Amino acid sequence: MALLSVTRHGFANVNVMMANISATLIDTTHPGLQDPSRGYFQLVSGTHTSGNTVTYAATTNIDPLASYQPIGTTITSGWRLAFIHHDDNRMSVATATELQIPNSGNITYFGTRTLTGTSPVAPAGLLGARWTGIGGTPVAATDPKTFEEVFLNRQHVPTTMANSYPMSYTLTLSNRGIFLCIWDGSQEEAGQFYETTPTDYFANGPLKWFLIQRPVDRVTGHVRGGSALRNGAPQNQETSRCPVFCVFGSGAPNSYRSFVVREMDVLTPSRPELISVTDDDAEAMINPYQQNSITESGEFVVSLMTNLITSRFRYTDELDMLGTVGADVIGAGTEIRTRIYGESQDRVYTALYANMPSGTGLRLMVLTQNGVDVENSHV
Amino acid sequence: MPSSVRTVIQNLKPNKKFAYIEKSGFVTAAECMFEMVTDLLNIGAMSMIASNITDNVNGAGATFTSTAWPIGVRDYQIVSSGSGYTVGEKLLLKNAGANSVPYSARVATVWSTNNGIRSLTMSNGKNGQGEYPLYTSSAIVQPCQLVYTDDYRQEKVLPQTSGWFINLRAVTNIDGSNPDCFFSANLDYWRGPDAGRTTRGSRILATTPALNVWNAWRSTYGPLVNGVSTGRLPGNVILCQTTTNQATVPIGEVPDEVRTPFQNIKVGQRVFLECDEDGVISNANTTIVNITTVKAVIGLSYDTRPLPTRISPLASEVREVFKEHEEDLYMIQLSHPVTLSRGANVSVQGLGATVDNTVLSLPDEFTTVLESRGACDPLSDTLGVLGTVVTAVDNSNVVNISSLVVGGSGGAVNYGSTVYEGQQINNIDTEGDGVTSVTGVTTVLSVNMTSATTATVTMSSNQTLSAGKTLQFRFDPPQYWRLLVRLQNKDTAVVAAGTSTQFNETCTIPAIYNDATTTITDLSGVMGTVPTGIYKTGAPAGTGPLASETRQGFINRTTRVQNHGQAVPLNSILSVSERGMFFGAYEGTFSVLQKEKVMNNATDNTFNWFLIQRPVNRTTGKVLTKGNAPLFCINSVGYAYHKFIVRETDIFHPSQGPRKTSNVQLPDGVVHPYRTPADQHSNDSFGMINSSNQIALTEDNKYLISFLQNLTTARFRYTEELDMIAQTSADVLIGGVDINITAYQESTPRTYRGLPSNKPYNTGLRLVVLKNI
Repeated sequence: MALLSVTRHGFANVNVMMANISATLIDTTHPGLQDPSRGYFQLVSGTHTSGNTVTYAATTNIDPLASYQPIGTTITSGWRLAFIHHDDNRMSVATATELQIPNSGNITYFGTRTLTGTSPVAPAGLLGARWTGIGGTPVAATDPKTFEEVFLNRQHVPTTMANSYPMSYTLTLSNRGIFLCIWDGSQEEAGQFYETTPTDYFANGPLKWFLIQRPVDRVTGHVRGGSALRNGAPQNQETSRCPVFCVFGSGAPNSYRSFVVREMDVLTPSRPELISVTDDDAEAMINPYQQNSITESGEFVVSLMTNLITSRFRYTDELDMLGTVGADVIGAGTEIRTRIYGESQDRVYTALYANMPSGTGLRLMVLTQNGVDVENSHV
Repeated sequence: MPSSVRTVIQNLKPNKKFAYIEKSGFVTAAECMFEMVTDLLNIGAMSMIASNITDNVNGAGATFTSTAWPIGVRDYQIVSSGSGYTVGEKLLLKNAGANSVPYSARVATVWSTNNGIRSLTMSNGKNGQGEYPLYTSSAIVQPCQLVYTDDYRQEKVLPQTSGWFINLRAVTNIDGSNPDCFFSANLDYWRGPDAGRTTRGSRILATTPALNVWNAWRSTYGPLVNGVSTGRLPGNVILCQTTTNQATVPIGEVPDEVRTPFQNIKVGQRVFLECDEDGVISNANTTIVNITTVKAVIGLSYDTRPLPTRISPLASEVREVFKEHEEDLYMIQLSHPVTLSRGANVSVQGLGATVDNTVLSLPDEFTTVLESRGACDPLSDTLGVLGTVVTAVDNSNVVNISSLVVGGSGGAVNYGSTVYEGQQINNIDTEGDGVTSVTGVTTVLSVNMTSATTATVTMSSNQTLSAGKTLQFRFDPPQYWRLLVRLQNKDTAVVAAGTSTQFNETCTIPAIYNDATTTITDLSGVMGTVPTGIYKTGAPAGTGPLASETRQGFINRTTRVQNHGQAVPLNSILSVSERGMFFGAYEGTFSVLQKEKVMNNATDNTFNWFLIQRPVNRTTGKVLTKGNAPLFCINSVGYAYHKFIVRETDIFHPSQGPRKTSNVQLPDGVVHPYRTPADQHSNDSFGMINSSNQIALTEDNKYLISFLQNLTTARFRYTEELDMIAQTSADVLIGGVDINITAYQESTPRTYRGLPSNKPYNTGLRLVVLKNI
């Protein structure tokens, strides 16, 4: 199956941008879709308007096990994606199974689990820091923590100024996952430090991204959950727990987290853990600081996402749709070509923006072109 | 090796440049580090530069430098305590064999029974008249006599005395006859109780009436009758005046003029005559066997004044009152008869003490500097290898080499026949035709070892070489690195790594100062966190670990252990390969429990280790020997993990971390200034160790072990990795368990051994170390 990657610019409105993204998610006209009757996602419910939650279900075009992951006895879809529009300027994102993101669009919450009465904390599978507002809501809008609790927050950009801070996004969809990055302003100049009263008029600009992906074998590049790693055996003979990993970042150091969306036998998202530091049962997957990437020979090293763990197991697999590199060695928007996993042709990874001012610190490298014309290890 | 230490495992493979040594039972850190140095020297991994030893036992802080190993404080064990010695006396070692220089010793304590020497304090000086080395690596001839120095009386060419007695009252007459009893000797006349009485006519009655004498004399020689003894003084009994002035000032430092008569006269002493005294002491070993204090009546007085009239009506009646006058004397019994003139001065010395210094005891305070050799670092191999050009090369940079052998003529240490990338290629004119084929400076760009003795070498420049030419491959100059081991006291050890620029024969650790050059901010290349204590009294702050900060230094447990290291003995693990070394020291199963959690200690430091290694290629396992050739040091002290670069080809100093790493949230919530964390990402440095609880099991019930990756220097990033240790979760493997791993396409598996975990009860990180190849 072919890989789809688009980068679009000039969105002054969150809802408009999300509608544009939505169209790509569910578009059935992409060439090379394994199931051309559907897009990478299916729209389950909602519209991208203020106060609504829009939910999507992963299809077999993006998840090899989308049609075969039993939940109870009736539900078979793999994992789902939800965009929660708090208002015109704020949007949260969650990913979980159909149990937490049902067709109704009413996402279930994690709660305090208090014996005298549990109150909601945050939606299951939330991409962000745990909500600290009252009654299961994000923190007050005036608190800088809002930038970590709410995935995309443009409340400090009035409509009259929105055109000065147009948003862009890069979206990559493959047979194993989705990567979405949204940014505005001049990311290379401002950096990602959230302040209450910034002095820089590019400050508090979002560089928000998430990757939801089934990992690939570190040697062959084959998708876990696909037939290639089962030696062609049918899906009902899959023995792996087949975790779906979600990695996301708000840009600032120590705001990078990951969790497991679901496993074959675990049907709720795990607790998001910081991945910029090692902690109990949490590996450091991302170095968010200023870093060296250049080797003695003058090349630079791009690291794919490794050290994948669930709460039970460790995997030698990788998340190949996203890499990291020192921000100094390559400019945003620049493509590099590299040949890995024994593929027949080069892949293309495209540089995104740095996470520190003046183009320093960490820079993401997102997969924008496959190394093979048709990648079918997921079939 | 201390008697309590046991070698658990010793796996030596010198032909593969590998050694693994595991020992247990070290009571002190000094013992542990001493053994590490000994093993590194024994297996040829490192060579000795110098040691600086401080003797706090015998020499009271005296220091000396040695290039020999083992070092040690000579344990001056007293073989024979002798007799008649006085505390504070200064002695010399006689017949010290190779150590013919005079060793000075002071009598520290004596046995109460016979004044034999109970303990000595060794001295390295001779009262400021020149320094004598106190220690050498060779032993003295044993047993070695202790003799007296004669610092102040050398002109007399006489031995120094412990004391002497004068005004002999009775001795064997010079003519050989036994002397009369003391009473017929030359008694002093009593002059009366005061001057007035003397002038008024008192007189001494020398012989009558009978006098009372001391009981001992009476019992031995019978009572004196009419002033004449019924017996005779034997030739081995002498009498002399007594004195109450028993000075304790060391005799050796007391000039003649202030000496006090009858000082320090003791049973067991040898007696001798000084050169200006008359007499014969024929037996050189004549000693005092008994001393008795006596009171002797030496005279009578008779008062000739008339009695008072109220007592006697007769004016002419006089008092006829005899009054005895006593004097304190010593009766000294000797072991052999002597002949002495009356009045001669007799000197005495202690006698018979001998010592043995063939036993070396471990100094508590020493600094040793070692230098890498080819057995642990290809770039420290000065010999390199020789090989023969198989087929002629015409202006090409690829050459096939055969008959690879160890280079140079030494051959004593076989470092194998491997050609390394980065080696310089020189021509050896074996044919004697004077043709030097290799032009310019060319190095090995890449090498493919096609067998143990053949290789295909890609050179950095095109060359024209004849078949049969002999080429030499070696690193020129070598890129040595050095290891400094300092024992500040027996349970505080500092370890540092660097180059000869930092660590040399002076055995000092250069400090890094702040801008004002008044404050030491760090010591170069030391393991652990920045030292903020002092090395020794008088040294500035920052020269040594602070006892209360147990992450400073390498082993810092003095406060916790006190003098009870027997309760918490150390184990050690040393692993040495061609590319580096690992050393770890842990406290038995205390390292498993960890006191912070179990025994409420503030900070655990029950397992400290360091790894100094050149990285290997992540695919082939080849050692990185070309380019900047960074040498990495990863260390853990008190479960804080740090890294630095020991040296590079063009960098001659160990790297230092930033002043603050506030952007790093260390697991313990502490920021360690001037240190680069190894277990967290930080500016220009990737974390390479996960020190937390972690997941290691895979779905198929295996567990994963990771080598240390993400290597960065201050300038470059490397895709190589460190393979002498690896990490996994502590839960899946127990310390002391061996696992086999086949890595880098090698034909046989390697063996790694589990080390103690970093969290209590076998949780957290479990390191494994290379045990066999």
